[in-house]
Amino acid sequence: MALTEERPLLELTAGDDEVRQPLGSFRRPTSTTGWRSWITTVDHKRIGILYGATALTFFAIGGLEALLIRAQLAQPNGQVLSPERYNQAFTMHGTTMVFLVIMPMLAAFANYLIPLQIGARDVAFPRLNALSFWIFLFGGLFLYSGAVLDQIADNGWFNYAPNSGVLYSPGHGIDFWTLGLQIAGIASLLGAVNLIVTCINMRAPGMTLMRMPIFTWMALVAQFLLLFAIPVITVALFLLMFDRLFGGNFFVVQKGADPLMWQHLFWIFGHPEVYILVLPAFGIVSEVIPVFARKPLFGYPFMVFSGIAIGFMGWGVWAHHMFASGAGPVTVAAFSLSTMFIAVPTGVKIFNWIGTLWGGKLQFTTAMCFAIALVSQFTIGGLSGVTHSISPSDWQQTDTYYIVAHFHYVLFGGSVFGIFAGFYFWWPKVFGRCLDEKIGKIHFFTWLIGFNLTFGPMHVLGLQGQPRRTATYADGMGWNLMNLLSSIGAFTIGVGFLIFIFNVVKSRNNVVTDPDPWDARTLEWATSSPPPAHNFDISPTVSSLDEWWHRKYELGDDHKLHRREHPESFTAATPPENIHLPSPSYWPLIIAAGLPFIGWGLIYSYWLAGFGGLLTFVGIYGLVLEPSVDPDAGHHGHADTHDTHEPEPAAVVAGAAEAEEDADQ
Amino acid sequence: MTRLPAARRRKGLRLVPVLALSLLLSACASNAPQDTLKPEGPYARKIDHLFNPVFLIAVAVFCLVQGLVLFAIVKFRRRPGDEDFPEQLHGNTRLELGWTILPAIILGAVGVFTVPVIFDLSEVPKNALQVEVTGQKYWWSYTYQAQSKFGISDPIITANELHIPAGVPVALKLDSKDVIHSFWAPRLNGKKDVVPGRVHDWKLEADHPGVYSGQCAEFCGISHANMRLKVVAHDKAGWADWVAHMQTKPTKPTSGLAAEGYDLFAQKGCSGCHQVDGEYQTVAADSPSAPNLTHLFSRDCFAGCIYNLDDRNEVEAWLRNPQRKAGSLMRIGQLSEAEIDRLYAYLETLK
Repeated sequence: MALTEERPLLELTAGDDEVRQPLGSFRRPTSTTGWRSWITTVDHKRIGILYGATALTFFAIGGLEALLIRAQLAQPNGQVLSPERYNQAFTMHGTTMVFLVIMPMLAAFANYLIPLQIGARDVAFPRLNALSFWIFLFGGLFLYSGAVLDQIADNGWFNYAPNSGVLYSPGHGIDFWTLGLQIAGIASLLGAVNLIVTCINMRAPGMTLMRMPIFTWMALVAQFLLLFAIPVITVALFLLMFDRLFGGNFFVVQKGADPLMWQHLFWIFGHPEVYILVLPAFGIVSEVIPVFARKPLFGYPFMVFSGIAIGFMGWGVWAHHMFASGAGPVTVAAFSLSTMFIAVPTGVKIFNWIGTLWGGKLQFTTAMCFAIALVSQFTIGGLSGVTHSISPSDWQQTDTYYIVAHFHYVLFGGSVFGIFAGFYFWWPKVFGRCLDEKIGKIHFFTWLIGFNLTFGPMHVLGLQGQPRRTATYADGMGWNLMNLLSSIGAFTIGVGFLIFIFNVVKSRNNVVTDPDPWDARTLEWATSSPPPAHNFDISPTVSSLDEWWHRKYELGDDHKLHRREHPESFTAATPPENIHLPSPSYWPLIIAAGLPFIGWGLIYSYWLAGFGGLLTFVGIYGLVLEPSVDPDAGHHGHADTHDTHEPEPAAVVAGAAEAEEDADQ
Repeated sequence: MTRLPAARRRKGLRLVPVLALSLLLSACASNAPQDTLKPEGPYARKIDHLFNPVFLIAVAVFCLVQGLVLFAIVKFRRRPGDEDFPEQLHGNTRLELGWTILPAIILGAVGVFTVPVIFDLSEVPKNALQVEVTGQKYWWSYTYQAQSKFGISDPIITANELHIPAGVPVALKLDSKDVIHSFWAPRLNGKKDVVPGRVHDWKLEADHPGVYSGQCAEFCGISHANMRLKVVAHDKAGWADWVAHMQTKPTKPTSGLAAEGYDLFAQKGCSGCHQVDGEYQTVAADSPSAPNLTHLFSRDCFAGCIYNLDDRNEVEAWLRNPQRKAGSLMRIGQLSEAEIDRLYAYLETLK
């Protein structure tokens, strides 16, 4: 359904209500404040904030599950949880942290920052963007809705067949898991398409790919990984759904299935997923470190290409999760070698960060502390990764706490520390308020100690033979002390999180007036904080990497850098009047709201599924038929909006292009 | 913006290596029966010999990177009042190529040493004792087919405790009755998954007689943590004794509590699932797999090796309620204390 440039809908006269509200019942939302504005928003910045807030909530839930696990394991023969509850706790902890925390957290950063960093007004498909968020939210809620009926998945986040089948897991927990992740997968896929098109098509004039900020680059690579990885897990989930709900035999051994097929599908998704989780965090620290070292990123091209290399090589290492699964020596050897060599581009990143620190004038803000901690801790995770790329030693280490230690150093010490560096760094941009630095430091050191205390001892536990996913362990195995330390560490992390929340609450009064408090380098700092709905009053043009920094500083006659008196920013004294942004809409929310009903319906009653399907179907029609820009809204009181009295013609072009592309979806 | 004094900053970041070191030291002190770093057989040792140098390389890289980071933090911190910019260095292609190529070379070297070990360990040993291992929720069963070389003339079926001769390679054939398990006795070799519908080859060898602890390493359900095992390695004489003993059949008790227990064993349905050679030979066709009890009391542990057989209380507690181990498939109904005494008396004859 292509709405062409003719735009007949835009030319309606004020009386044509019937077409303006295609399905009659809804009045198009117009509010820009209050809760209604949030549930109907198509602004990438608000959607980014929604992603972030949701992910932070799930982080608290996943964290509580982790504390339950550590409470149970603090002592041998722990009695805090029954084995059933323990299995549910670690299953939901892993699933939550991967799918409902780190992935959406990075979606939050990517959504918020990419358009700002590339000088665009919004993402390519703003309404699709809203749809992604709501589908993600409802997917997450659906995943947890089973808990109300005490139907909670308990087969691990990897959910190996055949234990995932009805025969061995007769409850509905795994149905909730399977369907919930399929729903959340739609969100990731839509988001990936949207952000890829945004990066490719929406960059400001002059922003070549090699002038694109490094965070945007890494997020772009991650979106490509999502685009190809999500379909694989979706296939696996879809087959499992058929097994469980419709009597399929894809993973039923008694009917001749090979359960290793699940493992292959899962890890072909699962390993690129690791890079999906960590690459954007790499991007974040690659933005933070140069700003606080007051130097450009060391070896920007190497950073870009190592990220791309990781993106490609990430597809060739999945079977290292299966070294002990029964593959022959040739397969094992091949994947051992490919796994070793993926350490090379990762190592490049580490050394380039050190190169950026080297010779700088380092300013230890909280964001910088988190970023440097990522460099240190990810190194540990990377090195332990190399030790189990040696598949014979992996035969000892796989499925032990050594692996748990390894991937927490990567995903917590790496991704989560990176995300929190991003929080402290961009908080003033997003909210116009600063997180307190003193409390931030307390938060940082609590986490630095808590994190290493939790996961450091797990290396030892794994090498001493403690298998993971065990609800209990006997006394006399030599594991008591390390487990106790680890549990103390976990609760320390919990305290640190509360300190962070306190900081967030307190930041309400901590208004910053300077839109560029860190003296930063990229375009998002060249507009006000928080940025206006249209991002830039004047649409940016770009002539170098770190455009904003180059506008601020020039080399003086004394060969020293001098700050220009009035750097050319993109804010105008009088806000422009003729920028078309897509109007808010209820339909994304309605489309997404139908999906959990389809899920519940497939499990309990097809009537519910029919209702959900109808809701989604109506929602899709509503969204498609509704003009992306409400003809009643946005340019009230102005003359013809396509006039060219704007000083920067690019602004008009950008605004209109979005509206068209959005309508074309 | 407030800044912490430099000294405190440094102290905080120094915690990382200090912590790591203290952990390593304390690790050496404790006595862990499943320690992968203390191999007791040639296969486990081969892995250890590969892991150790790689671990040392990793420690060296760790020290290098953390050293550089710490040095940079101390040396290049911004002094108060210093508003000048440092040199705006954009990169150094030679240096960057260097730290791309050098790690690749080191990893290539590691790879050269790794690949032969993969093939070595994947080879099925010759002249080995053959044992079929079956994993099931949540215990292990072992079948030794007749092998004259090892003195076994009739098949031996036992559970949870794998008996082997020391100094002799043992070839395992791994199979599962239900879901995926993983057979792992850390001090004798790495682990291998036990996958239903497939038979995987794996092997073990112990240098010296002894008892080596292990457990299922692939999550297999509610009692995964309770699926443990022991490998008992015998010297020559001990092995001969064990085999000879396992070739005998128990004698059916004729009087007293044990005889009453013998009858009860059938009445309560135990014999529907549990075999006792020479006494209860056949089990019901649809019965869940249950350990062969012929020589029950020659073992040390039962129920996935989590309870001690020499503790009468634990056996009685089990008979009172087999569900005390979550996910246990044993259904026995409520027994009176008198019945438990009789059953115990009978079971005790199965030496």
